[in-house]
Amino acid sequence: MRFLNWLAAYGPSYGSGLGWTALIALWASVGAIVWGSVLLLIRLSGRRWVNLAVEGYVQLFRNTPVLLSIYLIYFGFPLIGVVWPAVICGGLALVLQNGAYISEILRGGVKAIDLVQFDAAKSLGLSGWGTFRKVVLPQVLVYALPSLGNQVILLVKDTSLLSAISVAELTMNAKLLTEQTGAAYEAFVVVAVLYLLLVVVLELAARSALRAVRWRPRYDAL
Amino acid sequence: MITIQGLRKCFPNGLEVLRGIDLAIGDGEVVSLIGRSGSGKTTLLRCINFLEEYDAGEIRLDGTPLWYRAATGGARTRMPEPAIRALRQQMGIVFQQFNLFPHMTALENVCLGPSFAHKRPEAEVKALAQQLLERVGLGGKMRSYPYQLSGGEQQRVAIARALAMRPKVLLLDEITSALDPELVGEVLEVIRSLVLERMMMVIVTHELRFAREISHRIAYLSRGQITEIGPPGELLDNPQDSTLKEFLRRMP
Ligand SMILES: Nc1ncnc2c1ncn2[C@@H]1O[C@H](COP(=O)(O)OP(=O)(O)OP(=O)(O)O)[C@@H](O)[C@H]1O
Ligand SMILES: [Mg+2]
Repeated sequence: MRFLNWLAAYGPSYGSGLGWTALIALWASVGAIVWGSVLLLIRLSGRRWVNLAVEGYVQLFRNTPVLLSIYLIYFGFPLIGVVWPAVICGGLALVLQNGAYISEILRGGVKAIDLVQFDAAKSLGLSGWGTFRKVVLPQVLVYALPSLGNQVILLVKDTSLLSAISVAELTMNAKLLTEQTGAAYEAFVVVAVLYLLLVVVLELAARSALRAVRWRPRYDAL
Repeated sequence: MITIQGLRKCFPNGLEVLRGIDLAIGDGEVVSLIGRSGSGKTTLLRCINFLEEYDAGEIRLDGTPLWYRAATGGARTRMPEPAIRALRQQMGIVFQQFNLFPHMTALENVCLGPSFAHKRPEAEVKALAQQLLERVGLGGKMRSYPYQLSGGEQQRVAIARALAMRPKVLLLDEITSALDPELVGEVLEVIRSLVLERMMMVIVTHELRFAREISHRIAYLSRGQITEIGPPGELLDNPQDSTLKEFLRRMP
């Protein structure tokens, strides 16, 4: 009963936190998928030293906590004269980290593409970029969809780390409410439920996206 | 017309697959390539449109040297990539395994080449593609994806896709070998109609009866060399080369 009263009083104040979380999750996941695709393209284009650089980048971000990148960007950028809002800095850290993971995921997807398709693309006079855009990427994004969905879910949960640099997203929202009302338990249970809902929605979206794919690979990889 | 002179190709593992190929194919001419498995037929076809690099020799299309440029000191360099692409667009190739793009409909498969290469208006490209698909008997299946098509239908889409580039020559590599016997006829029918249109073609095939019917000349490839070439009647009925005799004796 006490909880319901609390919810009635403070529930609506989660609105803006939820909005921020959704917004950050959206731009960061789109950004991470685009960045992951760019990294994939660089890796496929096969210049040796460039590949090594990308490899190093991926390993670096895979093996360091994302909170560290958030701090480094938020506190580090002003030192080189770049002052960006916390939302942008935090989101950028998420893009850089998840882009690294996503490029790995997509690289796995490329292996599912029948090599003979590259011959076909060449024989039609497609350029490397044309082949990537028309042949590789559309297939890889589908092959990798389940893993991409998982990665985006991880990203959504990681948006809560932006509370560390005072971005007004859900977790920060709860922290503030705790301070205002002293009801730590209530404040954080509501947030947990909201994250859960977000993830469920994503899960359903990923599944229906996969169902909406109308083609099938020659070897049943889907 | 295509002229091939002294073509040599060695795979990195040291295997010399083509050991001096000389061959000229005239406009409107159909040349079939026959030979044992591993004799280098596929490799020769792939060298012609540069899906495979080669070590020596020259290939010309209507007199223009293809793929390599002479550099100083008798060396040669690859042509720049855009030039290679432009030349490839003048040749069509159809593979044994169809190699359609699984994520595109029949129509999209056929449109891809021309819309990318010629930068023509989408509507024009689409009209051409529709016309070609109708021509190979697939007017009703334009919106089907490859997985929804039989092998014979996929192979006809592949032929339409190659034709969409309006190629000067069509290279066909055992295009019926992966098909169930009852589907072979519909594909060969399309090839017959292309012969009537005087399309220049190089056809690798194991179907000697078909080769006899449609080829102007048949070339027998043995261990990387064309050891015998001539009109079907002569080559098939009165072979000179001893390995060719043996090869023909073993064919059904
Ligand atoms: N990428 C490659 N690397 C090394 N060797 C190769 C490669 N591709 C083909 N070969 C070898 O070159 C030889 C000629 O191959 P090719 O595919 O041209 O023969 P083919 O006449 O088309 O045979 P088939 O009738 O079986 O298709 C074979 O011995 C084959 O094993
Ligand atoms: Mg072959």
